[in-house]
Amino acid sequence: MENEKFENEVLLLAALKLDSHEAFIQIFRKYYPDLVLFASRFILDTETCEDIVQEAFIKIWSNRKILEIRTSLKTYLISLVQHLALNEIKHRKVKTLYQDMYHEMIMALPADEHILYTELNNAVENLLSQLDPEVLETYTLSRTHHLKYTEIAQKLNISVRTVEARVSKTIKFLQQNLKGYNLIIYLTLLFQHLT
Amino acid sequence: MDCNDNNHTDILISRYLMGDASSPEIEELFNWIKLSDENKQYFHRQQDIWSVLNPAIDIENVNTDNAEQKVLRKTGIALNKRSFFKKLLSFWSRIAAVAVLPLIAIIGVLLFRTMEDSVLDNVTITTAFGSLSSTNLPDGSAVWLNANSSLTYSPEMKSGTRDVFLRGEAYFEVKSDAAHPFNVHTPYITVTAKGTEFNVNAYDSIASVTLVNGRVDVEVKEQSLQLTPGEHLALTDGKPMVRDNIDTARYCSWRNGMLIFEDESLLNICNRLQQMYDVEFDIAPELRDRTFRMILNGENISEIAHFFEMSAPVTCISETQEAHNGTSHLKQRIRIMPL
Repeated sequence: MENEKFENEVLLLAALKLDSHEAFIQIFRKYYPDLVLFASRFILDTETCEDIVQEAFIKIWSNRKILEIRTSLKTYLISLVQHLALNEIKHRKVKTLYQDMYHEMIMALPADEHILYTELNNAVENLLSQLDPEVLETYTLSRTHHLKYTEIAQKLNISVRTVEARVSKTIKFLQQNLKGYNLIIYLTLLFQHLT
Repeated sequence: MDCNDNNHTDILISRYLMGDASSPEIEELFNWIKLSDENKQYFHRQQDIWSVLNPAIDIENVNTDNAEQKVLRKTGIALNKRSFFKKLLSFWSRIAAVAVLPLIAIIGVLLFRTMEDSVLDNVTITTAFGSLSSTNLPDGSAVWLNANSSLTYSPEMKSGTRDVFLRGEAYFEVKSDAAHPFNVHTPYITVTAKGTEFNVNAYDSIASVTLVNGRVDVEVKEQSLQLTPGEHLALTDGKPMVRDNIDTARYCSWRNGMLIFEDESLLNICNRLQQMYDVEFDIAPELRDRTFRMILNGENISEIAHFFEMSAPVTCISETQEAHNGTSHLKQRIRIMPL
């Protein structure tokens, strides 16, 4: 992480209102990649995703004087991108056919319930770093190499039972510590190819 | 719902998200979702988590530095010369790729300031048919000039107002400077800005202004109108008409070499093409109101004619004729007729 001049959001937003370029840049750098990823859930074309998010930031800057953020900066940005993504889809060629479907997809969750990639990824990474190295290795083999229980057992020269024990330990640990995130499905997915 | 049910649903959802679910499973899942709003919310939350952790784009591939430069320039926070140059380079290579005519011809030298200090020659940039150009003005504003257009300005814009004279079409990104208003003069209208982004179309009989950002004042026939972003002013039969909430990209995408027509009449499309290409259309009366939907990306006139033929029962006949002005210049003429 780079050095951030404004350590909290209140300060950051106050500075933005006073035309601080630094504040604007700090907000931009913090949220840009995550918002592009967010937009990519609804819009396939990466370039369009980037354009939309850039437009959102340009709007933030031009409206900085009248900006009123009642929730949080993150929620505000997400709803702005949601709104721009909807607009974009409305103007698409295929508009009539998929418009309703996309509308439902984009608006399925209120802006404040969306999670951004970095946030969740950091939380997961942080928890994983607390696991025992050998338990972590089992996780890595299944997650990034997509190996089955038996394959992991062979590779690590341990019994299938041990692999199972480690996997269930990992799931339990993540589940306990990520309660806020409703991660059941994520965890189910993560290990379902094992069996 | 007991624990078992829950688990079963979770597995269904996960199979669905991974694309492994069979059609009976999908049907079962969708029926379950329809049962209640809670079920629906539950599904969407799980879908959300899944898409967060399986992004379509690798976060490492998002070029934040690049985007930052773009946004800073568009917001007027920084007018970075180097990034502008880079943009210009990529712009030029795009133009080269569509193999259009040589771009800029500096033709004119006019005198426009005789009163104050030193008398400096004005600069005129002209673009040929079928070509685009972009440049930085002395005050730091950026301008994109569409085909068959010309822009005249004084090489030192610093003192007093900033005045440019436009024939044809241009897109302006005006460098913010409230003390020195930026005026775009055209035969019919004058647009005054202090630091914004807007498009002005002033080919022969047409005049229109599209505001993307900021604020402009448009002076037309001794009245002054103010536009806000997303508004489009057009002069029809000499009367200014303002429409709001328009898709500004449709009016401004030409500067990226793109023309967007959405359910536009053939007559309007051909009028637009005549502005930018060295061509004249002759459309059979019954076809003039037929609408088309297309995006042109640097195609030449014969390719465009082919588009018309492919998307409607029409035929295009191309012929060359001497231009009306009696010079030896040969103008292409395309007749569009029903099949």
